[in-house]
Amino acid sequence: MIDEALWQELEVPQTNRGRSTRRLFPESGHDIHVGVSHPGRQRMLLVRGGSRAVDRARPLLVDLRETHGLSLSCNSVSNREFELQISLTAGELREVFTPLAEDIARTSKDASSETVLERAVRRFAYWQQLMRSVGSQGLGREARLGLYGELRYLRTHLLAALPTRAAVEAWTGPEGSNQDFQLPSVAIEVKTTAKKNASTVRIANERQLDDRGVGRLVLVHLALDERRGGLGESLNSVVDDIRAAADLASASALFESRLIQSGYLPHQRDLYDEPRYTLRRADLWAVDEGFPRIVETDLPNGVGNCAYDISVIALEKHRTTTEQVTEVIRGTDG
Amino acid sequence: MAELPLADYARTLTGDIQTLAEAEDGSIPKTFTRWVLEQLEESGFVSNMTVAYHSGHGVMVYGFGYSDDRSVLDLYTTDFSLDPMADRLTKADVTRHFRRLLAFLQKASSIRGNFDQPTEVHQLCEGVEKLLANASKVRLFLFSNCESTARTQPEPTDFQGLPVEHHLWDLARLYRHQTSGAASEPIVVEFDPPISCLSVQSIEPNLSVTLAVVPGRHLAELYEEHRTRLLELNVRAFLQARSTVNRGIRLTLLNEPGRFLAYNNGITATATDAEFVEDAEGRRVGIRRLTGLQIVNGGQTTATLHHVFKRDKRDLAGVSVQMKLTLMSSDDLMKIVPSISRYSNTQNKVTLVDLSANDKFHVEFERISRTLWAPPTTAGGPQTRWFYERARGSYAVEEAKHTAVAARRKFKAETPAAQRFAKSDLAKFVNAWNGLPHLVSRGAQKNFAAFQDNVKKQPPVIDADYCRRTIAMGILFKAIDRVAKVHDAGSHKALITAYTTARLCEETGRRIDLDRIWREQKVSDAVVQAAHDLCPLVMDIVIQDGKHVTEWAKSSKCWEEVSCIPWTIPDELAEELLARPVEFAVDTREEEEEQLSRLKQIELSEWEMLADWARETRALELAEQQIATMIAAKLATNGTITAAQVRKALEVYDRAIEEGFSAFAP
Repeated sequence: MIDEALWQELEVPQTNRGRSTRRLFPESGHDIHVGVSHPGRQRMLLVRGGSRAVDRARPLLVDLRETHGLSLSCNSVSNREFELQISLTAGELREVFTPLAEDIARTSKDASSETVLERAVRRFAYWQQLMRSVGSQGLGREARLGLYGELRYLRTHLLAALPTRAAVEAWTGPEGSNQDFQLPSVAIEVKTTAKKNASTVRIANERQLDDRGVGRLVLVHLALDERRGGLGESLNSVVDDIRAAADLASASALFESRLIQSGYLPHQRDLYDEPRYTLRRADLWAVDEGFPRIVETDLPNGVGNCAYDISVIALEKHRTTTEQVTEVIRGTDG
Repeated sequence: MAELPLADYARTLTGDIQTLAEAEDGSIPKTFTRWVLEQLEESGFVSNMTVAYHSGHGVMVYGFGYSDDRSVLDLYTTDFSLDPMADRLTKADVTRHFRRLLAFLQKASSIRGNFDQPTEVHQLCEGVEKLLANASKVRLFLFSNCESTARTQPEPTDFQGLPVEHHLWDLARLYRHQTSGAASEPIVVEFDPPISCLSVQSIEPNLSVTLAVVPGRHLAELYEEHRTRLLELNVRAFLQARSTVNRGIRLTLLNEPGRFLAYNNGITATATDAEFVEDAEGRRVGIRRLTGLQIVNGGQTTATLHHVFKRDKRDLAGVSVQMKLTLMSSDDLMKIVPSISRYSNTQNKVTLVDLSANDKFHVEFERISRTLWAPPTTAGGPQTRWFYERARGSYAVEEAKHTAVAARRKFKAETPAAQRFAKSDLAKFVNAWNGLPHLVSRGAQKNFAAFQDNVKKQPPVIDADYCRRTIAMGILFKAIDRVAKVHDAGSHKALITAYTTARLCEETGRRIDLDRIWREQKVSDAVVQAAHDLCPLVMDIVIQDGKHVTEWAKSSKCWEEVSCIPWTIPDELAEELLARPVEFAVDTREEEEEQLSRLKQIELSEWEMLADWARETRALELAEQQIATMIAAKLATNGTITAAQVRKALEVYDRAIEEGFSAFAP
C-alpha cells in the first residue's frame, strides 16, 4: 500500500511551501494520510482525530521517549480536530519508515473514533520499543541465532513446498503469533541452539506448544555451529536468498516488513555478515498425544508466562521426518 | 479544614471544564486554557490570545498572545488534571513545562514547515515567529488546575537576548483570582533587605501613614514588572509625555543622581496590607512586604526612573526616592485615593475632569472611537480619525509613540489635531444637544460633573453609533461656533454657541440627522442658514444690558427665555429633518437582546461554514475564526453567550461578509 513509488510521487518538488498528501483507506471513516512536506521533503504519516480522541492519547504522549530519526507530534488543526504527525527525521531509517507507517496506519484504521489517536500512539510506542531493543549494535546473539533459524527453515522447507507468497505469509512469528509459522494445516515452532550438546529445548511460554485451533503442531529443533569466519552461512546471505525468491513473487514488501518487525533493520545490514552458521543437526517432533508440555489449561488460575525446558530424550517417540512435515505443509498428507 | 474551599473549588472547576469541553466538543485542556485566558483577559493580564496546540518530544504549547503594542510575546501552556486534589505540580513539573514552551519558541519555524497554512498549528508558529522579530520581552504562562508545590518561581532567563518571565497560574492562584472580586490580583512586593521606615501615629482607625526611602532601582524594576497596573489609581499616567517636569527628573537622574532625593518630592503610595519589621519596643522600623501596592502620585517620577533605567541604561545606583505610604483597607481605596491625588499634587494641575479619567464610560468611548474612521470629506480624500483625549495629554503620548518622522506625519494626517476633543468637549457637545446650555455655560468642570451625573443615571450604550453621533454633535457644535463668530459674539461666543445649538436642537426636536453629519463630516447648508437666523435672536436674550452676562447665562431662567424666542424652523431645514428624533439606546438589555436575536437568526451551520471559510481563505485572524467556532459550539449546546461575545461575534460575522463570505455561495 505505502511504497517507495508513492513517496517519490509525493516528493515531486512543489512551488509552494506546504505538503503533499495522499489519503489512505478511502473507505475508512478516519482521516489517515501519508504526506511529504515541502521544501523540507520530510516523510510523514498523519492521523487525525477529534477532541475526545486527543484527550485519550495525551497521557501517552507525556511518557513517550525520544527515538533518534523519528518524531511524533500532536497538533490542533482546528478547534475540534487534532492531528498526530509521525515523521521521519533521519535518512537512515528511510526503509524502516515505510513498514512502520503502514503498520501504524493499519492499526489505527480499525479503531473507533475515540481511540484512533491512542491506537496510533501505542503502535508508535511499540515500534520505538522494537527499535530500542535492537539498539545501535543490532540484534543480540540469541536473537540473531533465532532469526537465522527461522529464515533457514523458511527457505529450506517452506519455499520448497509452497508458492512463495504463501510461504512468506506463513512466517507469522514477527507479528507476535504463538508459533513461528502458521499454515491452515499446521503450525511450526522453530527452536535454534548453538550449544554443543543440547539435551533440552526451552519453551518460552505456555501458548507456544498449545495446539488448540491449530490442527497439527510441529516442533523443529536446529543445532547450529556458530563462528566468525569459516564456511558457514551468514544471516545476510539467507536473507538475500529469500529476497531473491520473494522479489519474483511480489511478496517482497511483506517479507521486508516481517524482517523489520523481527528487528532486522535495513540500515544495520553491515552488522550481520558475521557470525556464520552451519547446520549440525535438525530434529523434528510432532506435538501430539502424550507430548510432554504445559499448556494454558494446565495452569492454575493466576499463573502465566511459564517458561520450561523439555528433555530431548523424552521426545524420541514423537519424532517425525522432514518428508512427513513437508506433506503436511503441502496439505498432501491425506 | 482550611483547605476545604480550595478542594471544593478544584472539584467544581474541573467538573465545569469537563462539562464545557463536552458541550463544545472541545478537548479538555484546550477548553481549560481558553477559560483561564478569558479570565485573565478580563483583568488585563493578557490580550490578543490565540489557542492552538502543539506537542512533540520536549515541546509543548497551547497558544500565544501579545500586548497591544506587540512588544511582549506571551506563550501559554497547560497542565490539566482530572484529579486535581490528588495530583500536585512539583517544581520539576513547572520547570519542565516552561522548558517545553521555550523549546517551542526555538523550533517554531521548523515545526511550521510541516503544516499547511489553514491549520491552527501553522498559524501558531507563524504568529509567534512574526512577533518574536519585534518583541522586547517574552512571558511564559503555565496554567494548571492542580496546586503547585513549588515554593519559588523559576529564575527569569533569556531567549536570544530577550528577557523571559515565568507566570504560574495554579489552582490556588486561580482561586484567589476568582474569589478576590477585585478585577486584578493585588501587586505584592517584597523588600529584601527590608527598607527602613518611620511610622506615624494616626488618629484615623483604618488608616496609617509610613514614611520610607526606596531605592530608585527597585522602583524602576517594579514599574517594569507591573507597568500601568502599578499606577491604576493614578490619574496622571497619561500626562507624562508633554510635561516638562520629567525632563528635569531625567536630567537629575543622569547628572546628579545623588541629589535626586533632595530635588524630588517622591511618591505617594497606598497599600492594603504590610508586613513590618518591629524593634524591641514594637515600633515599626522596616517594611518587609507590601500587598496591593499602588502609586497614586508620582507616576511621572516612577515612569521616568524606569525610562532612565531601561532606555538610558543607568543602574540608578545611589538614587533614592522618598515614599509616603498610606495603609488602608481596600474598601476605602477608591474613596480616598482620588483625594490623596488631588491634595498631594504639586506638579501639573489635576482637574476634576482628569480624575474621572478611568470611568468606564470614557474608557469605552475611547476604545470605540479609536476604531472609527471618518468618511473622507472629498471624494477619494484621506480617511481620518477623531481623537478622543480621555486623559489629558494622551494625544501627545500617542503622537510620541510614532518616533519615525514618516510615521509621525502619517499619524498627524490620519488624526488631525483639529479633530481631537477632550472629555470636557464631549460633555459640552452632548449637553448642548440635550438642551442644557445653562450647564454648558457654567464652565467645563461643572458641566462635566453634570454630564457625569447623567451618564451615571442613564448609562448610554456606547457603541460605534453612539460615538459617531456624539462626534456629529461636535461637528454641529463647531459649525454653530463659527456662525456665532460671524455674528460677533466676541467674548461671549462660547455661551452664544451653546444656546444657539441648544435652541436649534430643541426646536427641531433633535431630528437633525446626525448620521448624515457624520457621513459628510460637515453640517448641511440648511442647518448653517438656520443657525444664522437664530444666532442674533439668541444674542439679544443672552447678552442683555444691565445683566452680568456670564452669570445670567448660567441660570435656567436664561434658557427659559431663549426657549421662548419666537422662531420657527425654516422650510429648507424642515425638509431634511428626520421623521423621528435621533435615538440613543439606553437600556442596554434591549440592545443586547436584539443583538442576541440577530445572532441567533444566523444558523448554526452558517457559523460553521464561516469558520471553515475563514480557515481556508485566511481572511480572518485566527482569534476571529475561533470566535465563530465558539459561537457554533455554544449554539449547538445552548451554552450561554455573553453580551460581549455576541457583539464580538457579530463583528466577526460582519467582517466576514465584508470580506466576501457568503453562506449561499456555490
